[in-house]
Amino acid sequence: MILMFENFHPGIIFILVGFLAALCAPKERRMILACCPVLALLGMLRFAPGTDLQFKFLEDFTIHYLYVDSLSWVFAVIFCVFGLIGGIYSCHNKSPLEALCSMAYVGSSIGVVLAHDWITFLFFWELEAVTSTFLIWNDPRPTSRGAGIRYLLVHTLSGNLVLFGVIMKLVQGDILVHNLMAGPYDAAFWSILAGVCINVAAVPMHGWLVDGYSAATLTGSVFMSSYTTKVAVYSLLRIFGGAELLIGVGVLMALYGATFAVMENDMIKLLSYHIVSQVGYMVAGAGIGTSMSMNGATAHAVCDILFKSLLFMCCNAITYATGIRKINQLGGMAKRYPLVFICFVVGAFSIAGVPFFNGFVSKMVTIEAAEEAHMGMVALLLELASVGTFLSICFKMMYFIFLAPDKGMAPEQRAIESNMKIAMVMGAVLCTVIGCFPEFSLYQFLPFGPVGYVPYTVMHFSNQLIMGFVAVIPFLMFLPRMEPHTAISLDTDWFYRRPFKACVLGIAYLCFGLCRSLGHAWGVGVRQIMVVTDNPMQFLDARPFHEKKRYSPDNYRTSIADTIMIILTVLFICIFYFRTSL
Amino acid sequence: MIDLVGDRTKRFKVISLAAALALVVFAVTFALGGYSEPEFLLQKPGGMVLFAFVGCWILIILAKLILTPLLQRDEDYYEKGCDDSDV
Repeated sequence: MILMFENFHPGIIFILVGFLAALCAPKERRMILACCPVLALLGMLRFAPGTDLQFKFLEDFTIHYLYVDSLSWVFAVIFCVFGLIGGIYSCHNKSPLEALCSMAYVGSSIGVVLAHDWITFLFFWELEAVTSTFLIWNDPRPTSRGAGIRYLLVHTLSGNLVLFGVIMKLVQGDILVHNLMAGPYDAAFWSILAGVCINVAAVPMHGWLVDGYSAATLTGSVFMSSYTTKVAVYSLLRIFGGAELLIGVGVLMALYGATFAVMENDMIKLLSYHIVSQVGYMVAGAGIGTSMSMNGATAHAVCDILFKSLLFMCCNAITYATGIRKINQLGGMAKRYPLVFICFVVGAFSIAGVPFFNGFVSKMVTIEAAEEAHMGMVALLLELASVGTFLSICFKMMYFIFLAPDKGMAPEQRAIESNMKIAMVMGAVLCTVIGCFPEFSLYQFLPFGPVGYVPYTVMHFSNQLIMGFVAVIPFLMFLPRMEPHTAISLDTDWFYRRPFKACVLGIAYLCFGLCRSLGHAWGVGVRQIMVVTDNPMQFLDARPFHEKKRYSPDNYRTSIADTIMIILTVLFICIFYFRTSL
Repeated sequence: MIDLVGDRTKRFKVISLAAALALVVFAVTFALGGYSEPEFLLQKPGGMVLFAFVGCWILIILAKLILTPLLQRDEDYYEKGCDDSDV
């Protein structure tokens, strides 16, 4: 069973850690969040590929709640590793609800990747959506309430699409999660694909990501940057690996995210667009479907979890200290927060694919796989997205946040917590170690056979350096107009925040008006019926043109004078009778 | 801190430095025979230099000159005219 120690599910450990942290006092909570995720990591490392734990459910159904193969192992381990880093980063939080939801969110993400049957997969998929929603609602800003509702609605749609597909699969007797590319391409296939594509933030269904992540709590967005989209990438690799449709989707995501990031002024929104962009490489890799591209997608997911969360941690540390999220209000942060700057540089160089950082050894695998599959245009467009990454993170963010003169608009409100610094350093060290020793730390664990890619060749090395040195020239030439200004960029979420919302409100007002009218008509009808049933005989006796006399009890009452008159008359008669008889 | 926006001379120096470094890397790669067996457009001599320069300009023009005036609005765009502004 799940709760026997030797079979302890790492995801369940995270959920229990969350409950424990929520029930404890703040001081103990700090220790629990910082230390207990190690148990889940150790528990996960105990499971060898091939492990399949199960229990009987409803007599004739077997739940395969923990299945470890080389693909799920890689994802589950990196999820546990980041659960540990995220726990350390967020352990100073005062909110017990956030502690519970963040750990349960990590646990449910691990639950999805370790699920071997559709029911378990769906259960953890839904749990992940619910727990992450509370990371948005836990933020006190008024905008977070609406963003959380929108996030929940989109993920409810995703969950329902997966549910529909899963029900159809179960009806067909298909119980286990497996690659569906062999067919049939029925409603179940398309429904599950659509549900996963929403969670992977495929353009144009990516609006929830930028909207939701920027509204989440400072520590919540760090967790969110690492799990929802990566769980969906795992699902694509597991279920839809080799779907050519995904190549175009991935390339579009990579370019779209990179372009929109150039416009953005909000640090978290900018990084959220880069999640869309980097996940695009993984989606394209899953679509190409060769062992090299699938390995590339897996490797990039692992590296992306580390460098993207590192960038989120750095930016959120600055927001924590200054209360400022807008790039155009910052500047000079390298001098004030040198450790954050160093960690940011590591994250930025990693995401841009600079040699000796982990993005260099992962991103290029997918691009090389596209070249080997004779998809030159795909490779070229993915390289163009890499240029965009240099532009918006290595140049724009690094200059305007850290290196530009301080505008004096972001005075320090509180110091950055030491646990946040430790977590950032851990992330930076992992990014560098994987970048320097990819064979030892990453490639040997990749699930789709030998990687077949050598990152440190003269060509790869020089091309990335040249890309960085040359791309900075247009940036500097255009620098006076590169500084973002205070504005928001409309995106595909506009469709459900404006016309769709107006449509829903219009229908709601129409229904409300209709209900009121019907209610009014009902009231009038009831009153008329009451009048009729007051005196049914009168209604039955109704004759046209006959003056009707309405019923009134006064018509049947006698005057008090009549009564007195009768009494007096009887009295006088009695007196007269008795007098004459006596 | 470095003011590259206001100080044009400093900006020109950084641009020159970046161009020089790119040239050095290109020359070293050429000397080491890195371009001897190009299999792809970007592996040809000067391919990446041209691609990175043109690609960066394409993205800047697309994002800052075309999409910014088209898609950027005031920060209270979604709140304006809504009585339930937080939703």
